[in-house]
Parts: sequence; C-alpha cells; structure tokens
Amino acid sequence: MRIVLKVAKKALPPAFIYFAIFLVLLIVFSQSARKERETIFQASEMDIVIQDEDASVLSGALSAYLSRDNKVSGEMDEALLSQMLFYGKTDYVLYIKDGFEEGFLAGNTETLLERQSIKANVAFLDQKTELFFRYVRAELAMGKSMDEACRTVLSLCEKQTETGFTEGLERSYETVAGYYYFTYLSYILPCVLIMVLGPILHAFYKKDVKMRTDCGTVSARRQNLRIIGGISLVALLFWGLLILMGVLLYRKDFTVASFCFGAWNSFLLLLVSVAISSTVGIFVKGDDALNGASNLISMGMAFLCGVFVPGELLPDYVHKIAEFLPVNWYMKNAKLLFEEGGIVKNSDVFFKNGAVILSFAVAFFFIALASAKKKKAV
Amino acid sequence: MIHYFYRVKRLLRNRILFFWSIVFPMVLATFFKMAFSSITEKDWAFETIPVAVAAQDGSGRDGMLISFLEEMENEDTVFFEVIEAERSEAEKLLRENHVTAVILTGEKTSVLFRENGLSATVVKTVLDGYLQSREIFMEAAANGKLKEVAQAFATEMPVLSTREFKGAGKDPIIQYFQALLAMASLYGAMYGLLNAKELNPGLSAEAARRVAAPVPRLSTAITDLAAAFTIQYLQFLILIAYFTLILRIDFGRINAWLFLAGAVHSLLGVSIGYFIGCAVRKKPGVQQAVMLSSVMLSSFLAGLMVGNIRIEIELAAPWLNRVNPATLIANSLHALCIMGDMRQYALCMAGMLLWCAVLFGGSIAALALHQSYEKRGIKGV
Repeated sequence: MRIVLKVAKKALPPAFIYFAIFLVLLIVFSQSARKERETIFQASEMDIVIQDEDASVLSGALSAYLSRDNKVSGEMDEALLSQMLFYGKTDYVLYIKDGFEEGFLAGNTETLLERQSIKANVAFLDQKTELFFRYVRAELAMGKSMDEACRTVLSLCEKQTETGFTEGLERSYETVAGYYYFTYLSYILPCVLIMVLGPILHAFYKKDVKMRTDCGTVSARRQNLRIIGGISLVALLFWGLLILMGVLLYRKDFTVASFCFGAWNSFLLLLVSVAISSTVGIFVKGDDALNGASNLISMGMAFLCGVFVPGELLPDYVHKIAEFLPVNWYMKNAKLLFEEGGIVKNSDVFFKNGAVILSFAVAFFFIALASAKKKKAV
Repeated sequence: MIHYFYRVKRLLRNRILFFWSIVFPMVLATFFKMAFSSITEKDWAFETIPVAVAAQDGSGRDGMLISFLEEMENEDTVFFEVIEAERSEAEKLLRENHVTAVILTGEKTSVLFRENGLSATVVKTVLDGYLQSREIFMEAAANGKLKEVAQAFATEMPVLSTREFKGAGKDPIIQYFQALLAMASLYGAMYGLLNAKELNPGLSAEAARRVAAPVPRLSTAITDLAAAFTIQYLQFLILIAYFTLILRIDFGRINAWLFLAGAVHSLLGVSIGYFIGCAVRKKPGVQQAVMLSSVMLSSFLAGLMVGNIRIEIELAAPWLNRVNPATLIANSLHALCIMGDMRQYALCMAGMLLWCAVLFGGSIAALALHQSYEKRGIKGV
C-alpha cells in the first residue's frame, strides 16, 4: 500500500495543473449562475453602433429613441467595427448618410439609411426603427415641425406596457452555483484519475517488476487485492478532497439532501473513473501517452455530454452518441437534483440513471480484469 | 541531403510529438465541431415566439391586437405564434414553458413573463409599439387629423436598406478553429525543443555524439531546422485539409496566401521551441513545462478556451494582440480568410517574422554565451 502511495505521489504535479484548471473553470462558471428568481422586467440590451454623417434633428432623435433600451455607441473605425460585428460584440449597425433628413422629408430615403448585422434575431430592431419613422411621419401629418415631432415621439416612448412575472416557479438548475461544481467534477474526476492511477498500474505491471513480485511469497490474488486497495485509497482521497472543496465553497448553495445525493452521484462516477483508469492504465504504455489518453477521454466525454457546452445547444446526433457515455447519465442526475422538485420529485429517474452509471463501472472493471489477465498470459 | 531525410525520419518516429502536434488538434477540432456546430444557429437565429393571449377583467377578445401580432413577420417568418386561451390556462402554459409570454388584454394591456431574455424583450418591444401607435391615433382623433395620420401610417416608405457584411464567413465559432490551428502551429515548438536538446552536448548524449561528428554545427542546426519545419508545415497542410474537407468547417476564402501564412506559422512554432531549448538550460522536463505553459498561455489569449477574448483584448490592450504569437497566427488567418484584409494580414506576417528573427537571434546568443562560459571554465547547468 505504501508503494502505491509513493508511485501516486510522483504523478501528482501534472494532476495538480488540471486541478487548478478545474478550480478556475468552477469559479468562472459559477459566477454566471443567477442567484435569485427574476421579478422585474429587464430588456436585453443590444449593442448598437450608429455611424451618423447627417447629424440632423431626425438622426439625433433616432439615436435617442434606440438608446432607451439599448447600448448605443457613436462613430467607430470601420475595421474594428467589422471585427466587433463578426464576434457578436456589436449586434446592429446603422449608417445614416449625409442628407438623410432632407431625403426623409422629400419622401426619398433610399440608400440614405442602411443597417448591418450578422444576427437574424435582431429583426425586431428593424421593426422598431421603421416604427419610429412612422411615428415621425404621423406627427408631421398633424402639422408639427420636425423638431416638435421628434420631441413628441421621444416622449411617447414613456408609454410602456405593464410587465409582471408568473408566480409559483421553482428555480432552475442554472440558477444554482453548486450545480456547476458537480458539472465540472465530471471532467476532473476521469482526467486526474487516469493520470494518477495509470502510472501505479504501469509500475506494478512492468514486466521485470511483475516477474520479481511473482517470485515472492505473496499470492497473485493478494497482490491484486493490494493493488486494488491501493488505487481505491488514492481515488477515495482525491474524491474526498473534491467533496471537501464543494462543502467549503458552496455549502450555502446546497440543501443537505441535494448535496448528499450529488455526492452519491459523484461517487458512482468515481467508480466508473477508477474502472476507466484501470482499463487505460493496462492498455496504454508510457506515462506521456497516459497524459494524452487522459485528455482525450475526459475532454471527449465533457464535450459530448454537455459539460462545457449546455446540452440544449448540442446537435441531436451528439445527444445520441452521449447515451453511450457514463458522464451523460451523471449529468442527467446532476440536473435533476437542482431542477423543480429536486430529489423528492425525481427519485425514480435519479436511481435509474445511477444504475446505468454503475453498470458502466462494472463493464469497465470486467474489461480491465480481462485485459490484465490477457497481459499476464502473454 | 541524407542528413535532412534521416532527421525527418528521426522526428517522425517520436510518437508522443506526433500525437500532440497533429492527433490531439485533430481530435480537439472534432469535439469543437460536434459541440459548437449549432450554437450560433440556435443562439442567433430568428425564431417564431409562442405567446398566449388572454382577456382579463371580463373584457372581450381584442381582435385588433391579435391580428396585429399575427401579421408581424420578418422575411416570411412570423414573429409570433398566437395561442388564445383563458387566463388560468395561459398562465399554466407559461409555467410549463410552452409559451414565452402571456399577453393580458382589456382596458390596459399587460404582459407576464417566465424570465427575462431576448424573446421577452421582443414581445415587450412589439407591445410597446402597439400601445404607442394607439396613443398617436387617439391624439390624431382628438385633433381631427385622423385621416392624415392614418394615411401617413399606411404609406409604405422603405426607409431601411441592408448593407451586407463584407466578410467571407458569418459564424464566430471559426475563432475557436483559428485558435486551435494557432495552438497546433505553436506545438511545433516541441520539434524545436528536441532539435535544441539534440544539438546541445550539455543536454543529451545524442547531442554529444552529433557534435563530435565531422560536420559543421551550423550545418547540422540548419538541417535540423529544415526537417522540423518540413514536418510542422506538412502537419499544417493536413490540419487545413482535415478542417475543410472532412469536418467541413467554413474557413472562408482559401488561397495561395494561406499556404505562405502556414509556412511562417510553422517557422514561428519551431523557433519558439529552439529558443527555449537554448535559453532555458535546465532539465528537459523543466524545458518542456516552460514550453507547454508558454504555448497554452499564448493560445488561451488567442481564444482557444474563451471565445471573444481576442476582441476583448483588442479593446482593452491592443498591444497584446500585436505581440502574442498565437494571436498573430489566428489574426493572420482571420484577416486573410474571413475579412480579406491584406493590410492586416501583412502586419501579422511581419510580426511573426520579427518574432522568428528575435527567437533565432536569441538562440544563437544563448548558445554563444554558454560556449563562452565553457571556454572560461565555468560549468553550465
């Protein structure tokens, strides 16, 4: 057992790099959790840039009209503006050409006002802009001057529809910072365990070492039990450290039930991770190769199972592939815990998903045992 | 020439380097493609918003509002799918997330939401427009100008025209692939590092053997560099082919200038590794850690892990984008393939070539410094 811990100690420095990544991800993403349920309407601010060459009363009023609910910026360098549009930092650009107001009064505005956007969902801003000109035309039709018409339209904007929020809604999992803790746990567990447990298995299954230990008085069964005991202890220590971190950082975010069941869910994932690590440790030769395998497996599962990108944004075929991965079932359970009703309402599904995770663990353990046996026979 | 081929063979035989410089970027690109392919489509798309309309305070059906909502459309897609319901039923639909909003009609129009967001903003904007239009008509009626106002409102006068975005692509997800290509190019540093290790007698036994051979050291260094560059450049070509032909990523305009850019990217990657190998005279493990952390930090700042970081840096500290090697690589690809901005492309290329000159100059200086220590009898690390 002591030797196992000694070998594991050597693999700790690279593992700590990933541990640090985990911490950063956790802190960054749990910031995005909305703490309280929304009760006041807040318009989604669009970033609008207005390149105004006309600098007329009408163009000024349009700018003031749009800036009521949006973030409006003035002139900007063309090259930078193109980049801002491309990266989605700017949602909508209005180019107001010189002579626009005269053109508007003469009924000829073609090509004097242009809009540019690469997002389709800003179509409502087109409607809003068109409506502004209709209002101005209507006010002008009532015999008002341009200045007066624009002022009336701007004061008209004070007329707003009353808003409210429906009552009786439970909070969604996205609003709980602790949800992100359990989410990123599914990336770090397999990643670090493959890197730490792999070298232990390499050390004990090295041809020379194996032959030497086989010459000793310890039976093969006892040898295997000690290795299993050793790697289980290392895995449990690491899991315990993560759980302790969860308690310290997010204790206010969890109910006792949600944390306990979340920890149970992560324990099942720990079993799968140990089983995967054992399989990989036996198959993959060399510690450098282990590092690669660890990255591929943990990142692959994280990308495909909605850890890094919310599941709703993934294409359907990715969801189908994810059904064959244990992290997918872990993630389903993590969401259930923080969804409406929590474990009380969703206990049936929670335990069914848990059984699926456990069967993955069993399957990987059998693969690991079979490959270890095969390796010995060779 | 024979040395060159043997060197290429030697470098290609290193499976770990091969994995990190080509297999890993390919696998990561595949995951990126699977995970990110529908983000923009789902996030930026114009979608019909389901809303429920219910009468309140015993008032009747507001036919005018309902037809106003039903008639609103953008390029043949309607803004709203209107469901008429009783208030309790409408609120149930909202709670179960079947509709985005419940519009309550009556003496005063009001709206209930489940959560804030763009869809809620669209509903609110349209309802405000309806309310404000009604206000104008009431004012016109009071002033006896209803006919003129109705005419002004009904006149179709296209005010807004569309200016097309001049870039060759409109999906910002491409920034992840540009950053990934930058990371893969900088992973060429591994080959540079290996070259430095196998040419510095103080660092490896192979180097001691090679230096003892009757071949000028400069000639060996140039042969090593050419071999590393060849492999790195081939990997660039394979990655571009994999991205565009297998993953079908819209990389924008691909022309001959891209292949020149690839050559400079490869040279930059190799030169970074060579410099670290010559300047950081520590154990190979430490050199590798310095190299990997430099490459990862540079790639992070180019947007490999956090989208839009490049534009954020451009706004906050533009000088960083002018000096960060991975950003220079990613920006050269962006300028060339997406924006078609040859001036920006030339600036990035000049920046990278300057980096190569500085790094190779630094490597020679580090070697010379080390040799002068040896001549004076001072032991290196």
